[in-house]
Amino acid sequence: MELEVLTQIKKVEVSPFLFTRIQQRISEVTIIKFSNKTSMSLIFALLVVIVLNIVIMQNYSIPQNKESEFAQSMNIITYNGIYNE
Amino acid sequence: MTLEQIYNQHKNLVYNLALQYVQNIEDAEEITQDVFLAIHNNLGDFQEHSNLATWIYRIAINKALDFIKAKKRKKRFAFITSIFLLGSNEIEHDLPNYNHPGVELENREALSSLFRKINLLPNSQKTALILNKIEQRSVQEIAQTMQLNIKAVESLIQRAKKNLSKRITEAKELDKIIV
Repeated sequence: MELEVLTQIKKVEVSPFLFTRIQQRISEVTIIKFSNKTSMSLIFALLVVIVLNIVIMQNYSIPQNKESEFAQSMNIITYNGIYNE
Repeated sequence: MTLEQIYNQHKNLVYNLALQYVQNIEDAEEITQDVFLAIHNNLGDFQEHSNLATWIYRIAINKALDFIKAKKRKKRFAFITSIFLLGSNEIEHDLPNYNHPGVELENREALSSLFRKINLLPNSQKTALILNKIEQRSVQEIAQTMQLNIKAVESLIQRAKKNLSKRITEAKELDKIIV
């Protein structure tokens, strides 16, 4: 079969300068690394913000009747009826 | 084991495998660089009890497939921009860049045509065929590398061969019509 020609492909040697290029690329890559102390304080700060958000949302919830109070003060009809009986 | 030691042991394995995927020196060198960069970054995650060569093979296959995907995306983007930038010098034509150093002159034409057909196969079939037919790996080794069972690998190789022979027959029929 014609696929047999694939077995005739020879193995070749890699260029001698390739490892230098790899080393160069490794040195170019700057990985931002945080120390354990920094990452712990970042996690703590994030947790504080989340807890604060929850506390504020629970304590300062908008009262249910606020909308109707506003409508009343502005003389706005809050229903869709056309005729007043 | 240092990166240099790993490189010296496996450089040719990675480079030759990359060549079978892209059939071009520049691209194969770029894939080889990507592979050893990934090895450098993930050496800590490598488990000592597993086979280093298999692990490297797996990285090389993934990097080669990623490279081909990225290249196709780049070509598609260049084509679209060329439509909008008519008359500019940025129009790129899809020139065939077949330059496999492991192919001898007498087989060059036959292999160029065969690789064109292999490149159209689905990735898993292509990988199984390359590992089996060119890299001369056993079905067991391929199964380990591709993380599949032996039956699945055998089926992939069979389907790859079937698809290829179908494409070869179609090309021959087309040649007859043209002549």
